[in-house]
Amino acid sequence: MMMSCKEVSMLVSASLDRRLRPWERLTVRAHLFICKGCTHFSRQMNILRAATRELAEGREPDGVAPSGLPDGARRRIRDTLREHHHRGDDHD
Amino acid sequence: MAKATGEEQQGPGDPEQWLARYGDELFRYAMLQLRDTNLAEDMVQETLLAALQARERYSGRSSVKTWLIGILKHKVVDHVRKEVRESAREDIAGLSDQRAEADIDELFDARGHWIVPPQDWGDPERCLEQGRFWEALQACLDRLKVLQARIFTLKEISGLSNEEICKELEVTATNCWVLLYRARMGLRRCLEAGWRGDERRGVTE
Repeated sequence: MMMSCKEVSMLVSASLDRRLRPWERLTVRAHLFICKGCTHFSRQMNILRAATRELAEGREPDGVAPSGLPDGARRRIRDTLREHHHRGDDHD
Repeated sequence: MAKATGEEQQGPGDPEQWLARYGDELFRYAMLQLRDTNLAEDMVQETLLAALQARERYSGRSSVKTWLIGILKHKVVDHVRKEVRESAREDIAGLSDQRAEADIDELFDARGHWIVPPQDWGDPERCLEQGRFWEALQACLDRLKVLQARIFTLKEISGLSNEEICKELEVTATNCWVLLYRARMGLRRCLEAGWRGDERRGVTE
């Protein structure tokens, strides 16, 4: 029996997490062949994956990622580190 | 143990150096994961303090940056685990298989066909070149429910496997899978409404 779009969408999502079994791959492919909606869905999932890869690797275009550590926080962290660092030295 | 100064050439160096050199990168990484400035700042501090404590165990096999990012990754997962335990229990409890099914069912008709079929987003490469796509993606990530967003970023940004996510967050494999599926469905719907909607204003409907 033909799979529904719902089932196919679940398998397409699953294919991003694990290798589909051969029969799953075949059924998805057969469905995509005749279904525009699911074909678009599948491409959208690939675009999402590609986009998050770029984010993870810091390759996204400028201005997309948050800017660096704010100055206030940098100062605060530096002071905390100094405190701990020196305290550590005393104890050792 | 504390003759640190003499050993610094082989060792990972000084915590203030780490902050100066890698602070921005650590912060950006934490922001990608947690999408919350204060929280991301705290994570950077915790990471550097943990690194300071573990300094003697730095093996030199990886670069200092990789070592620090590794510590940060753990801190983020620890934080998300706490969040899931403390505040998201209800979400998880409400995530019975039936509830999850019902949520997903809304998108499809009784025969399992799309109620609103996904649209063509065009050429993937061109998509990723558009500033508006990225703006919409950030906005849509912010709009996801916390638990969905956390699991989605652990998976897609940190690169954890589903098994690792289930184990770390103590959720069942089904819940984990469903949360990822819902996050992806939510993101694509949001992107289609926001970014594609802008693009096609006046053309659709």
